[in-house]
Amino acid sequence: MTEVLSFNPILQTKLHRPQLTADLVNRDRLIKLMNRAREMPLTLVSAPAGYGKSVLVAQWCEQLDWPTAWLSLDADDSDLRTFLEYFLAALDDVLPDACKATQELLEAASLLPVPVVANYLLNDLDAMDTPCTMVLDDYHRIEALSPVQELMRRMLAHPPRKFHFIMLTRHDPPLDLPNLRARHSINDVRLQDLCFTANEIAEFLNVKQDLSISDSAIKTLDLNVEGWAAGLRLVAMALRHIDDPDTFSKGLQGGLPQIQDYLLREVLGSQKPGVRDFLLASSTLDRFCMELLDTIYASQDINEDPGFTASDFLQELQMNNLFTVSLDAGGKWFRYHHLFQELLRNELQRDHGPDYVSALHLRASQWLEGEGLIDEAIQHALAAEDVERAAELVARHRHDALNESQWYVLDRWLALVSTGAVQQNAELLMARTWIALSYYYHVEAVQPLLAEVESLVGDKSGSEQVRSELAVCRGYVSWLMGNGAESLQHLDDRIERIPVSHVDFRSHAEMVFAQAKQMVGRKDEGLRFVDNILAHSEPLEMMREARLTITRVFIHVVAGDLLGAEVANRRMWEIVKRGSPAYVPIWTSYMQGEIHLQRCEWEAAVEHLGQSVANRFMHHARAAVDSMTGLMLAHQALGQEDDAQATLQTLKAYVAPLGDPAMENLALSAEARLSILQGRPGAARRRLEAIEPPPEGAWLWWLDIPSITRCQTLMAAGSTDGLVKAEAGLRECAEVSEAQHNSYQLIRVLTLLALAYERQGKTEETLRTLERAVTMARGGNLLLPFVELGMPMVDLLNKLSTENVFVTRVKRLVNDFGSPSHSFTTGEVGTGKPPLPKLDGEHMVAGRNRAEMTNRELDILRLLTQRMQNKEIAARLNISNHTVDSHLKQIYRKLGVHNRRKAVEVAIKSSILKPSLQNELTH
Amino acid sequence: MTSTKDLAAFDFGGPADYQIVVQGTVSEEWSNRLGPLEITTSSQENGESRTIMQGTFLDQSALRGLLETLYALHLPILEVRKIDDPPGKE
Repeated sequence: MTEVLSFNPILQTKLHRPQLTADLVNRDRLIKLMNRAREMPLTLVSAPAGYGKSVLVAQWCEQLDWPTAWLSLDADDSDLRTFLEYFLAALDDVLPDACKATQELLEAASLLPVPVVANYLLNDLDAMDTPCTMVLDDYHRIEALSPVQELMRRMLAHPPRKFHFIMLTRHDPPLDLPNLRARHSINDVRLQDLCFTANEIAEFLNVKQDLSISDSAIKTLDLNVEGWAAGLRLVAMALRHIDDPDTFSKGLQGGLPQIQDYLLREVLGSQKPGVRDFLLASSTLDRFCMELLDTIYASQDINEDPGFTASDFLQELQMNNLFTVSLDAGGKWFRYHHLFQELLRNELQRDHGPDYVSALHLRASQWLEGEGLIDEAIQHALAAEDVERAAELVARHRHDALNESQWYVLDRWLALVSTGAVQQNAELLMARTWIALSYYYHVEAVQPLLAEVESLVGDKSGSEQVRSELAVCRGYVSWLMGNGAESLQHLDDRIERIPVSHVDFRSHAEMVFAQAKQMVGRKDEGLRFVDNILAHSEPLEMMREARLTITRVFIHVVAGDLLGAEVANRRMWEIVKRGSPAYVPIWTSYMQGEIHLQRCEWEAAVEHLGQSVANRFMHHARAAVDSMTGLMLAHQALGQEDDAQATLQTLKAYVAPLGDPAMENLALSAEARLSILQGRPGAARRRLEAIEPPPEGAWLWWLDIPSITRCQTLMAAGSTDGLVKAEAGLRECAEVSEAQHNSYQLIRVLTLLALAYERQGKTEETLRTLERAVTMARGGNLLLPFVELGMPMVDLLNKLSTENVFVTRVKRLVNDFGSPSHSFTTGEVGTGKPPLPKLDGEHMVAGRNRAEMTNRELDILRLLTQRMQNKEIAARLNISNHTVDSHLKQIYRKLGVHNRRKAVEVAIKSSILKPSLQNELTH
Repeated sequence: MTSTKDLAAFDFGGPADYQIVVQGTVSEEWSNRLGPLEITTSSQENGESRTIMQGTFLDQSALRGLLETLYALHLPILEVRKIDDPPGKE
């Protein structure tokens, strides 16, 4: 959180509760009304400007005995990410780290679906053990169709237990208010409540302002100012300079707009010339401090009183309480009451004209940039209608945002500047392209953007930087498309021209470069390149170190060297230990899980892939999908069919809203793979066979490649036609893997191809292909492709003339799961026979329960008879507590029991456990 | 007849019944969020549809909220009318 604040310190001024002035009327009746906010999820204070909403709520919060977070909203906060950023910052101010999970989500996720955000936030807020109030001031600035409204609707539909919202708004938000009212979930404070009564007017003017106004004049005021707090304050100010307050008050007639204008002129007219000039000039600023005022005012030739400084002005403001709100504890930043600022702005336009106003905005923009307040600097440049400057601001500071992992801040800046301006500026267009490529992964969208950048750059001098970045993007895209040679051509000589200080760009380029080397068969060069940087004596930025380290993991996996990958991943875990951004542990778990899965270490795979899946919304979308596919396979291997199905459902639910055909194809592929393993025909298989697959790009280290799985399903169907098609498809796949030097994918392709040859009686090709697969896989212990094919693969391996440790291990793993209902190996790929041939009556009657227990579950059952606790079981079996838990759940489910004692009882009764164990239990 | 004071309170800070007519239709999802309004949609001779919303608003702030939402939904407002004698009232 501190990072966000340091990057955008002005944020703090949005989070400050308005300081109260001394001359406030005591409004007990309203405080009583507000007190219901202690019980209600939402208090809605809805009234026009100037009725004292903020003052009332600030007054009420002052006497609360629990923390209050305050957030003053701007129009930009209609953007969900921006809103969340401020929302979390406001909360962090009063309850540090209370919303850690949501904060991590915000930093890591490229997609922020509202239901997901709502869940994270609700979980975080619900976990709070202390009550807390969150004030959302100026909520009317959130647009009616903003996703923020949907977020709030969801929050209020299931309000966290101890969390209370207070919304201050000029009009009612579209939040399903009638429903909330019907459920008594809302505390309404409205215009009628906020209006000053005649008694309060009298107390304010006669006691607090020390004026003497007659009862009859008070009555006239009550009637004409209509209880309007801001109006009364204007009256009070005007009255200080008027000899006959009574007559003046009685003369205020003609409706509020007229009274308002008239009063402002009175108040301005009574100020010293210096104060008046400053008031008008500063109305261009939503927030101001002394230095900023000095800057915008320094060279004004219209200053009628040159001796009067910003410091004098601020003193005047505070002394006379000129509608000023202090925004921080240090008394540095201020703002005007909105209504007052609006009136002053109108007056400024009228008095000085647009050129003068633009000049003020420009000076403000320059000062704000110097302070690193880029958002506001852009806004003031735009207010001055200087779009060019706004664009330059984004261009100048884009790398700062990227280096801080705040690509979404850069995204927001780009959104502030108009699309037209972005398209005319090579650097801005490059920034947009970069975000699309490296954070949203929209490879297709990137190609035309790159062409546009290229034509903008042309052969202009001084565009070297953008030209280098362009080359990096092109190299990135080529690599993603599986063209390593082209990628290297783009990147060679260019990487060095990306300054090391542009960490995000540079480290991405290095990642791609090393992997492109591997892709053209120069793996060692790729690794050496990375190692040289990692071995650098000076400490690297964590972003760069993590990216280069995981690049080593990637390269080893793609080379089929799981051992090398695991060793490389250890450094990732070390980085995680040092406290890294959320994306580091997620990627590390993902790769760790994939390594375990390929080695058929199912429990460890479930554990690590489970971690990766739990954080799927913070993950790279493809890696998230891949993790779910892997988790599904691991569950299936453990005989946990329900969990495998549930994981598949999670995967489908994740993919559905993305609307990306490539992602949908991945889900289809995963479903097909599972249905083969479960020996069911499944519609997914037919669909996968039928469709023309969308482009897949480079295969890299991805666990599932739909075009390979497609061949697998064709074989599983068993027809001769299917086999011929599968063989042709697999030979193509083999060519692709070979072209990309991707041993990892090639091994899977070869195992399937061997089987396809065998089914067609091509003995020679079968053995040659199988031997090649075994040779490639045994060094890295890459077992999954063999084990996944089950008994047919064992039969095939039996035909090999040589037996080695690897082959033995495959057979043992397949046999381990050879029980009738164990589904991982019943996928009779390519047999053409009906599935599950072994599931006959005998097995069903005699040992159904036993058959349904996996070996690991039997192990645990045995340990349960020894009255071991979960911790002890975990230690004995060398698995985590969590894994023991999930095994226990499976055991209970299968035995239809709810505790361990019953489980042991039933297991013994139904002969799942041998009598000898029964003895152990009773003795 | 209402007194001046009553009228002032009634007009701005108090509840009032309104009928709002817009061109087009309001989806069910949104009609739930707009308030306890009676919503009827009818087809015009020219094939366009028209939605009439009617109900009691707590005050002008509530009415303004509805108008803002209709604006955001790009529904052109044809008519906003204060109903002096709400249906069923003498």
